[in-house]
Formats: sequence, structure tokens, C-alpha cells
Amino acid sequence: MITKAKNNQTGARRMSRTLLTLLLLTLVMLGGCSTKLKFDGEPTEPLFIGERIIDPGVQPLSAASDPWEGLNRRIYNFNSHVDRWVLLPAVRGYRFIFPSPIRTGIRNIFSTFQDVVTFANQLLQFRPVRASQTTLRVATNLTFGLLGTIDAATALEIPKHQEDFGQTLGVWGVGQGPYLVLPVAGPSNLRDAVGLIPDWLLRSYLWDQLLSDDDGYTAERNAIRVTLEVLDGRDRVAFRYFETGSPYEYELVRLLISTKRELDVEK
Amino acid sequence: MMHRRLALIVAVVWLVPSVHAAEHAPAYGYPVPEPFTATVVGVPVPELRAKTSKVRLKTGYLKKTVDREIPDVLWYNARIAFLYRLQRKPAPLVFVIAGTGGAHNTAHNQTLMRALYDAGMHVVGLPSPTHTRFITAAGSTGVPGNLTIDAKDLYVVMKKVREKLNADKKITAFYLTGYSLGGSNAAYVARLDKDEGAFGFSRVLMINPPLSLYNSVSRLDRMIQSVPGGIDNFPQFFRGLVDQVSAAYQKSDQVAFDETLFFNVFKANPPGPDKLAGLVGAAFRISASNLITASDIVTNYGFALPANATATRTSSLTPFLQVTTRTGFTDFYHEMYFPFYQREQPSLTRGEMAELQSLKAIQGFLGEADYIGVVHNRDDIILEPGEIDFFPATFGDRAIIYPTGGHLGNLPYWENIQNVVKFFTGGWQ
Repeated sequence: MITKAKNNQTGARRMSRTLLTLLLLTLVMLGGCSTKLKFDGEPTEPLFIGERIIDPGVQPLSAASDPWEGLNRRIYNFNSHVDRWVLLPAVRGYRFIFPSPIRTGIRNIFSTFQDVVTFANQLLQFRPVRASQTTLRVATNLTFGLLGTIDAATALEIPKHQEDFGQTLGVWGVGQGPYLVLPVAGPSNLRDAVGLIPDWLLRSYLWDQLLSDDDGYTAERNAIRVTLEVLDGRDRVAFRYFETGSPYEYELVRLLISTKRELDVEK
Repeated sequence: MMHRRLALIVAVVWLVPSVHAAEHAPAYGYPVPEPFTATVVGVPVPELRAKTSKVRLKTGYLKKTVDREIPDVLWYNARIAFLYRLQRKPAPLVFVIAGTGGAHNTAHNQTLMRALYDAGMHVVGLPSPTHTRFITAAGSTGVPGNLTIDAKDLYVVMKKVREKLNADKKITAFYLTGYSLGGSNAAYVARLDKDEGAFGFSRVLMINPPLSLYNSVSRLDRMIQSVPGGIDNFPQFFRGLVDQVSAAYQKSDQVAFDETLFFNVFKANPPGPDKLAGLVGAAFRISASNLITASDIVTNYGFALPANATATRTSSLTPFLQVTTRTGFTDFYHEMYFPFYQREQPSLTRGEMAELQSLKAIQGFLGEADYIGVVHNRDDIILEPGEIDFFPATFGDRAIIYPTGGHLGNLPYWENIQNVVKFFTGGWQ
């Protein structure tokens, strides 16, 4: 018991150190975050100007609130480097080491844990029907799905929901708040970023229950778990930074994410 | 409902001809009769798609081929990417050029490359000269759409790719193909190569090229009027797509924000043709906006960004997205392209310059070059009525005109791919 507490403590300390480093890195990058164009002399007028060619009543294409755009763009660019030099090479290694069936198994286990998080949020959102579907899902996958490695529930057409604490806050009436690009984790908003914390605590608690033992290896196991979770998470997404062929990639990603989160809450 | 109707159409169109197949010449079996639906859904039945191997195509990079400094806001466009795969043994090498706004790795590029690789050829996939990365790192003027200049820029890139591959010893011949605008690019590159001779292309195939660039882009521009509620409603229309777009984006291996992304949304459940025209228009509007903005930044022309402004990597481009999704290819032509190139050729009128960007301008060459072929569709939505007749008239039996398929909808259809492969392996005769 004592070892476990100590392990958790070192784990938490390590985590906060990582967060602190990321925060410092972000602050270092803060320099020169102006979103304004630089002018050579008095600004001239381009051929096409929004005020002249678009009726004031027309809803703009990209309406998300983004007061921290300069910083967000910096972090977005920073993330593209992390992706290119760290995450993607790691995912390539991951795909090389583990054959596809094993990767699917790993994915299904994480997916089952996510289902538990979804379940907790469905309770908080007072959605008993969906919560019971999720319960059935988890039970099916833990039994017939051999401890979550096989997604038997999907084969049996038990609906899969995806709820997180950000959505729960949304259901309770909290707006998205400003758009926020998180270091490494990517596009989000203030509400959802805050929502990550309780979800993360719950998942960590569940994993601790599963992985802890008196032998003192909990922190190491958790490190492996988190690494696999990150690798699997990146492997799930086809997105590649700056491969969209659009100078408006930042705007279009912002539009896609914020509209999607809006609809996620409405669903 | 729509899905069921489509399934029925598929069943009827596909099964009925097979009954008569024994008595008549085999009918064309591509299953979607309506051109807008074809353009969006492609080949709806997986069994009817060409079977190709899953061979891994590799990505190569070139340093920029132009002198300009890469603008800070486009810092990520400093290299030119290409896709390739070489055979172990000596074989011909085929260059495949993507269509309007397309990257080196578009779905169509990959389909063509895999089929040609399976048939024993080395393959190289190139971006369109209208892709933002090409405009930034390889476009000599920064204003794409001039077929002669785009061909020169492509030619430089192709020579660099060849250098980089360093495999001349096992290349027995050079071939060239391209779809949509890439088809026109291929024809102009072939003509340039006739004078320059760096490759000596012995087979060149155009797939669904526009005849006149101006006519085709103004058709695409007009389609946006089919967006319900008109152009003012485009933002809402686009936002309405977003949920489905993000779902499609997550499910597929789709990386680029091009028309394929928007088409994927409606593949399973297409709405009626009138609504689809709006979708096709909207998808190309995004392409146009990308192209215009990259060109505007690179040249400091002052189209949507003020001419004396510099955007940095943290600059907000949001206001220019609003403006450039509002304008279209035709505004780009009249307000930027024409004045830009008129500086060099002041005697040309708007009409004359538009006519130059057309296969008609090199009709004599195309008619004589017996190594150039074309495949096209009678109902291609990028052609004005009657324009299709140019192709059989110019190419004779070097043209295959399919009755249906819209714009590239039938490209992955097995018979189309078989004919592409046949063109490069033994010819159609």
C-alpha cells in the first residue's frame, strides 16, 4: 500500500514536471505572436475587400472565437514539429514492432477504458438509456471480448457513444470558450481543455487499480500504458500537418473542430 | 431512400447489358448514368473498381526550384513532394500529374500509379502546378494556369526528380499521363519535350482534360450558384457539411482538404443532381481559394491581401478566407491572371489570352503526335456543350470517349484502368 502511494506520488510529480516544461516551452515561444500583417509603408487596399463584396448580414465562414490566435498558431506550428520529428517516427516504430492484430487489440482495450469514461459522463448528463447501452458494451467486451481485446460489442451492434467531460460541461450549459491549441494534444477549446482533467483522473485511477501491485512497478507500467495510449491515439488519426494543401489549414481545422464539438454536445 | 434508388440503378444498368453481351459488342458497364452523381460517388460498387496491389508508394522531396525566398506564412511549403516506386528490373517510367489543386498523392494519382506499377512500370506522382506547394516552391511566376509556363516549371521538377531517383540505367523509356488539368499539363509538357528532348516521351495519355481552361473554370464557378440559398448562404452550406466532413475525414486516409474530402461525405448517400452541383461548386471553390491565396502571397499582387503587406507564420488569414471563398476562378482570371500576363504580351485581349490556355492552341501538334492519346467522357461536367467533339476529331482512334462517368467518376472503374494500362503496354489498336 505504501509503495503504491509513493509510486503514485512520483508519477504525479513526474507528470507535473512534464506539464511545467511544456508550459515553459510555450512561454518561450510566446515572443512575436502578432496576428497582424506587417506593412511596408501605409497600408494599401487590395482588389477584393470583405466589407465591399460581402453583405454585412452574411454569416462569416469561420466564426470561432479565437482571441489567443497568435499563440495558438505558434503552438500549432510547434505541434507540427513534434509530430514530424517525434510522434510520427514513434508511430512508425510502433507499427513495425506490433503486427496489426496486436495493435487492434491494444486499441480495443483503450477503447473499453474510454467507454467507462463515457459511461461516467452519461450519468453526469442524466442519460440513463445511453448509459445502460454503454454498460452493456463494457460488459460484453470484458467477457466475450476477452478482457476488452476484441470489440465484440460492435459486432453485436451495441451502439458506441463518445462522451467526455467537455461535452458534459456543454450539456450543463457551459459554452466552448476561446479556441485553444494545446501543446502536443492539439486543437481544443478552453472548456474541453478543462474537461480533460477529470477524464484523465478517472482513467488514471482505473488504470492504477488494474496495474498497481505491491512489487513497486506501478509507475513503470503506467509509463508503458501512457506511451501505448499516445502511440495508439496518433495512429488512429490520418491527419498530417501541412499536407492539406491549403494556406487556410489553421482556419479550416479550427472550423472543423469547433463545429464538430458543437454538434457533439447537441447529439 | 436515395441509396436504394442508386442501388436499383446500379442493378439495372449493370445487369441488363450483360444479358445481351453475347449478341452485341460489350456495353460500357460503368454503373452511374447521371454525371454529377458520377463525379461525386465515383465507382459505388467496390467489385467494379480496378483491382490494384497495396504496394507502398514512397514520398520523395526536392528543394525549391525557384529563386524566391519562401514567404514566412507559407514556411511549410519550402519543399516539393513527389510520390514514387521503382521496379527492380529495367522498365519504362511513367510520370502522373495530378488535377487542379491536387497534391502529389491524390487518390487518383495513387490509383493510376498502382495500376501502372502492377503492369511493370516505374511510377512517379507529381503535384499539379496549381497546388499551393508547387506555386510556392516551383512556380516560376507564382501565377498558375498558364499552360506554357506551367509546363516549363513541371519540366524542371521532372528533371530534378529524375536526378534524385538516379536510376537512369534501369529506365528504358519515359511515359507521361495526367488527369483533369494534369492531362492538359501532360500535353503541354510533351510539346515542350519535343523541342527540348530531355525525356523523349514515347507515350502520353490525357485523362479527362479540359479543352479550354477558361470555359471549364467558369463552369465550375457557376455551379456554386446551385448552393441552396445562393452564394450568400455558402458559409451555412459549408458548416452544414462540416459534421459529415469531419466524420469522413476521420474514417478515411484522406489528408488533403480537396474535393475528394467533400465528395467522400456523399458517396454512400448522394442527394439529387441539383444539390450535387452545389457541392461540386463548393469543393472547387475551396480549391480556388487555396490557389488564389498562395498566388497572392507569393506575388504580392494585392488580390485579397494588401500588396505591401507581409504575412508571417502567426498572421491571421481568416479575413482572406472569407474573401477568397467569395471570389472564384473567373475573378482570379480577370483581376489577376490577365493583368499579370498582359504585362508580357500587351497586345492580347482578354478573350485571346483565354483562348491560348486551351488544347486548341496546340491542336496541330496533338493531331500529328501519334504517341499521344486521350480518354474522356461524353457527359464530363467540366466541358461546355459540344467541346467533347474536339477529341475524336483531333485524335481519331487515339481517343476513347466513354458515354458516362461525369468528371473522373469512372477513372477507378476496372475497364477504364484496363484501357489506361493497355495504352502504355501495347496500345489500343
